[in-house]
Amino acid sequence: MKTKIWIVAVIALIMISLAAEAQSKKNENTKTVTFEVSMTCENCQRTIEKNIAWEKGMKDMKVDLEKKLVTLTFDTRKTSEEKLIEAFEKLGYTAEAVQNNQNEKNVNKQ
Amino acid sequence: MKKQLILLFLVSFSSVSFAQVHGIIKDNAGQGIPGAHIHWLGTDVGTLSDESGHFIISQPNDANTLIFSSVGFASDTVNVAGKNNIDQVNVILDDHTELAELTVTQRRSGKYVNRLAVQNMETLNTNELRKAACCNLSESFTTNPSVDVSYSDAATGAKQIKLLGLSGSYVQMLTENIPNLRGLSSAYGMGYIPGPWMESIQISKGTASVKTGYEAIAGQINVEYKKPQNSDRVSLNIFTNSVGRTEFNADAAVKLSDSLATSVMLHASDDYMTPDDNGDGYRDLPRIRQYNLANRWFYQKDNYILQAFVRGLSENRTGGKTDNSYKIGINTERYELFVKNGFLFGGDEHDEEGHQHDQEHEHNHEHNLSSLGIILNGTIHNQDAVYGAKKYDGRQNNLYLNVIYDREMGEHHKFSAGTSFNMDTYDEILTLGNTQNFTRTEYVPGAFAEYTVTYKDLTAMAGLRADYNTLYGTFVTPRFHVRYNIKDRAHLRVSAGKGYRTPNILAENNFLLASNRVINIGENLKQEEAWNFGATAHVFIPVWGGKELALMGEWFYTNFINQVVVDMDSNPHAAGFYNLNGKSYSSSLQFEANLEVFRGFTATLAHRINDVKVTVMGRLREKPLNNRSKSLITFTYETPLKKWQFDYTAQFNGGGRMPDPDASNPLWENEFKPFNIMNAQVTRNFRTWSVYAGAENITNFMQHHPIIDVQNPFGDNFDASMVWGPMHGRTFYAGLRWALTKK
Repeated sequence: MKTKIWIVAVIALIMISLAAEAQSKKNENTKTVTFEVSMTCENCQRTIEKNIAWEKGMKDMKVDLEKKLVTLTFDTRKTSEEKLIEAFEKLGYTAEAVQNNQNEKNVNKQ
Repeated sequence: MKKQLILLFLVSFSSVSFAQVHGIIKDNAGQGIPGAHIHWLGTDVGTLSDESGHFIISQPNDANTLIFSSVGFASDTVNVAGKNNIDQVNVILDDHTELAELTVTQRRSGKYVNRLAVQNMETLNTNELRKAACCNLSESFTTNPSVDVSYSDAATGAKQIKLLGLSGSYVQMLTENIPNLRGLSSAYGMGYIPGPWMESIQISKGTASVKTGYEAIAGQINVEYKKPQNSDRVSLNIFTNSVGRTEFNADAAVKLSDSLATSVMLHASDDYMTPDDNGDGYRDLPRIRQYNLANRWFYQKDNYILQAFVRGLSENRTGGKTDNSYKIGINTERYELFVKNGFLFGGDEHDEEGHQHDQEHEHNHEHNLSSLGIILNGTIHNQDAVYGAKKYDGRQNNLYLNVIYDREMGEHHKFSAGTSFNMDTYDEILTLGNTQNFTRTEYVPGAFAEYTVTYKDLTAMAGLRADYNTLYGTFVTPRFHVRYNIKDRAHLRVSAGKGYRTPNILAENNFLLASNRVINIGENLKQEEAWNFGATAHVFIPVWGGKELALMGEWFYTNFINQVVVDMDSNPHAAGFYNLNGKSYSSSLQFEANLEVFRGFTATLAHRINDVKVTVMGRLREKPLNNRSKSLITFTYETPLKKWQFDYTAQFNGGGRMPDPDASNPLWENEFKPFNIMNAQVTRNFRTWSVYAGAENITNFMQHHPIIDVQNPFGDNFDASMVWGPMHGRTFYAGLRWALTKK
């Protein structure tokens, strides 16, 4: 029984450290922009998540369906605000940048 | 040739464009809202959402604002003017008894309890179903604390589901809200629904709504298949594992016109090897070859919706000794057809324009809707089975009709009534030396009514049905559910109700022929009858970072008035079936905690205690081969862009009692010990496809000698039914999913 508890604990630790590592990977060239997007529904959210995640240089994404906000963190050498707006439009949504933070460090804090 | 034809069929599909909008209406918990009203502002074009909240509506040229409304929810409008390429509009309606500041969580877990339903209903969606990627309905509950799935025996691969510690025959199985997997198909039916076909699963504990019949005693499990009107255009799934299982799934959906959509789902699976890891000369698992093909249609015009589904299944199981000196062979053919018609009335009497956000207006005018559903279902099931020298051939035909009329009377009252008819014919031939033939036909006409009333934070639902069974006469099924919300922080529910079922001894227990127990079926078996009582409390506690800790406590008590007792104790060489004489109950207490610990990382802890006792030969005894407790831990981590997903599940199964062994020559223990099972899976998503790999039973725990007197399959002691644990050890698997999503 004890060994089982250890295994559970170790696996939990591995997953937590994986998560921590993913969240600490930020560098100088990242930029965080919040877009107001014309999404109205869960499925729109899913479409956006599934597609925008694969835009070049994408680092992080947070979607707030109720406020219709999509916050993206991306590598400025690989993409830009304009390109991302284009990507939203390609999916059939309108997007407008409403907030813009260079080198935001604490994007994951709520 | 067949395959080529299917391919040709898939390739010839093409998409036609049209002015039509479709989508899903959901509540805050993400559950689809059935029967919600949708119409274009300023027109008389309107429709209602189906059972899962889906809708399709044609768009008139001059219409651009959609109004969504449903009882108990705040109405919402969506303006689609000037938005090209939007053919999908999905809406979340707020329950207006909830606080306004409730936020939509960023990453909803794949499993949730509907906070708004009167009943205690848990939904597993595709996110949850993909956490354990293998293979069919029987594996869908690996990450679920409420439902147990175990092998019925060590030879046939039949799987049995348990809810509240009660066997699967007391759980009403539904597909698309139509009773299914009853009688003959209950033994192997958990394998008849391929994983990739499923859109979601709803689990209700306790007696459910009377609309779907009287058979739910421990609970109800409903499977929703993927729908042609909102599925991916084409999707593929390939799976294989280290013990030889290979599965292939393909499906395609296409819209043929404004109002017509169809889809085809195909499944093929086989085992390319059947290992014998414990070296007892028997295949650890049988070879199961299955072909499964379904076609479904969706048609909607004005206030009429038609859904049709047809499927054919062919399955071949081969188990027993690897040298075939003792062979188990089960061949099954099954055909299913259902047609659902929905008519909507009285939804078109809106008059004014420009009231986009005038909710009062909506509520005053949009709650006198009614609908009529006519559901027709037919099933043919044919099974030929050989267990060594024994033979069992069974055929079951089922015809089912259910007519449901729903009416909303203002905002706080809902009334449903209807009538149903069920016919089952069984034709069974059992050969154990001599040949016996059992035939039975059962007709059950019935009628039901259900009333739901909402007063402030209290919702109550009362249902009553009366049925006449040609074998057992008339019987009445009352059911009650009450829900009370304390703001959005706590939800309390109580339920009480009755359930009945006809025992089908051979059909449901024919896997027992994989033992040499003599089967003694008592005379005049009565219809099974039970009361079920339940009380549940769900509490949502705000913690750090806007996250919410969900705590649940549930207690369900089932008390049998009549039951067919399965007696494996009185004689270790026999299985007896006779009417209950005394007490029989199940008490199940469960606690669960869910929390997104930090962004992307979700943990679930659950613990359940079962106390299941039944009177066997005058003595109240613990039900054998039943775990006294079960704990479950699951961790899920998804990276911020959802490109990687890690899932881990640990099950801690409590010990239990074994059927009494032979007193003079005990061949097994009196008890089985607790054991643990761990599974893990990694998924990597790409834009259109994903790969997954995982391991089941990581610690390699096995019940090492599951077959009693394995050397003498034709001797008196041979028994493959003394199964309580896993029969195969650590298994690795990998698979691939690809989907062409629709634009």
